Amino acid sequence: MRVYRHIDDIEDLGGLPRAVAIGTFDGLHRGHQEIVKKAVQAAAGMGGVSAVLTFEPHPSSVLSPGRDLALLSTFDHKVDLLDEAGVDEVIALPFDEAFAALTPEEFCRTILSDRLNARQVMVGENFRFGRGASGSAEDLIAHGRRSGFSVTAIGLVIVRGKSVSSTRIRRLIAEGRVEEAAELLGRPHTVEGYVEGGAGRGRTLGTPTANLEAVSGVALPGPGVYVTRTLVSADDGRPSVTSIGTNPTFESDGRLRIETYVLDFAGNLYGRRIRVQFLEWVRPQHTFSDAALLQERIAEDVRVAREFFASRPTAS
Amino acid sequence: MSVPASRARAEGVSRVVLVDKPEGWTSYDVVRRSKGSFKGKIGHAGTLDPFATGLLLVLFGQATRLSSVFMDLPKEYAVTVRFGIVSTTGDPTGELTTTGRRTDLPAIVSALDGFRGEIVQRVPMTSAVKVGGERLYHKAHRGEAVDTPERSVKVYELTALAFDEVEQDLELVALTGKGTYVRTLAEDLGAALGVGAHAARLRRLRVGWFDAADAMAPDDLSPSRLLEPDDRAVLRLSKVLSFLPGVEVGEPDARRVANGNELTGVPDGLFRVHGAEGLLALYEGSAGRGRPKVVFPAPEE
Repeated sequence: MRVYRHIDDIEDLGGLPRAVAIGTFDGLHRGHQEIVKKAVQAAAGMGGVSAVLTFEPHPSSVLSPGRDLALLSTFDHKVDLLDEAGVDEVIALPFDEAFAALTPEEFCRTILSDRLNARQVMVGENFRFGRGASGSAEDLIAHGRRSGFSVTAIGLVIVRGKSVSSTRIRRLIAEGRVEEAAELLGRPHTVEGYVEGGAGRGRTLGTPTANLEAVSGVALPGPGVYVTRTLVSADDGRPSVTSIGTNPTFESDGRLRIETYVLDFAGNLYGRRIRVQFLEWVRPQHTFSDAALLQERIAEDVRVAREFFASRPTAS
Repeated sequence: MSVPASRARAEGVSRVVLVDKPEGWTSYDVVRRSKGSFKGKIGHAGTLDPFATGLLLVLFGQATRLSSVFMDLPKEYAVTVRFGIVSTTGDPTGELTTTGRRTDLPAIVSALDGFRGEIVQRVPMTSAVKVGGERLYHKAHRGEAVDTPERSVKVYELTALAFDEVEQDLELVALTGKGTYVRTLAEDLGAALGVGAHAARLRRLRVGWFDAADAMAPDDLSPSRLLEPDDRAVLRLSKVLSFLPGVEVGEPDARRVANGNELTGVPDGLFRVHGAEGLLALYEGSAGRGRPKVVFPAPEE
């Protein structure tokens, strides 16, 4: 799979048509997966190339700078997921001011037709584009007729009676409802980052923890304790227990900490980049008056995690 | 099974109201104070002992039909277990006797694990459970002591937060399933440690997804507050169930739902059924087939 970060880098395919799926696709949730799947199928059907036209960084960082993003995936993770989906090209353009100023007509003509030779375009049904988000899916269809590409607007995917949307998934994650979020994403929500040094207290309590400095902008599950799977390397996932919170029993600075205890693991993760997949909510944060009581509770958290993995033999 | 819509409409607006029960009040006192000039049906979803405080769900109108659904939900309690003192009622309102024995943190830490998961409790004499056709608390009132039945109940989570060695008070947070007596849990913990205990303080923090932090004082419920749901302490019917999956049905199915017939092609577990007029019913699905749990004859927005 090719990844292009600039419009001028895009390879001229010598007349081969592209089927292009357009969107920010944050998290590549089950709704996004439908749109991308249609583009992959359409490309195969016409002997062309499937491409995903997306934006990096997230348009919000340009349109509403300073706002907390709570992204569902890092760019790298999104690229990995698109690769797994069988996409041929990822075109990740910077959503800069010049791009944001393009009218709907200019976007269709200069980018989709001239640059990409798009023959088929796939978008979500509430797709907006062009300056001031003035263009809708209907406008895209009309432009397409003029410019020579067909448009498929795919309706929202419904899972268990609720529509799949990035907004809903973000809310579920913030509320600690990681299982429901996973159902809408089609996989567990993942937080990645570097392991930094901590207070070393976990070791004293018998459960050495890796303190995660999460990649900024990513959606963090709400404070609580979770059953997680920690990818200590790209293909090595381990059962673990992760606590997100201010660590109220020991700290009073109010800083949010992500501490992961990887079960039955003796390796040193310090300085490594890891991914933590959030599988199930265990309990809220509590302030314990005594380290012995915290220790007792942690032992129970570990037991809950073991039970989780034991009942799902394929999960590990 | 179907009730005429006109009769259901006479039940007045449907609301679930979150009330923080004051200490000393019975659950019925709360319902009576909340009723005010409300004309329709009113009820609650699970009593709290007079000595306890915390979340009591007061149900108005068609929401009373959800009582059993709410009573099935897990409930979270904060309880202060006081060791060394036993009580005839398991709480401070009974006759208290000092055992003269004390316990410590290591012993408590060892004992806690035995109270997680599925445990067996002997139903207290003060409960509403019936033995031989009569409620236990009636027998107790007559001074009759019987061998009370044993029940298997679920303790989903048990967390000890603090132990005051001097006062012998243990602060415990418990998430329990339907039918669990927290007073009995405190007494049994005391018995397991060989020192005796009772529940000195009890507060219900949550019932299912409803939180005591959102609850209001009983006196704060006015007719205008009841009419204007604020979505925190006063909830309309559809909001109460809004986090459950929902299914939209068209006309022929809407009539089937009104009659309480089976639906096919539905999700597993509890789900809402909506028609053109609003929330029609709560159904429960299993392997694609849905049966009605609660039908609302007068559909609500």
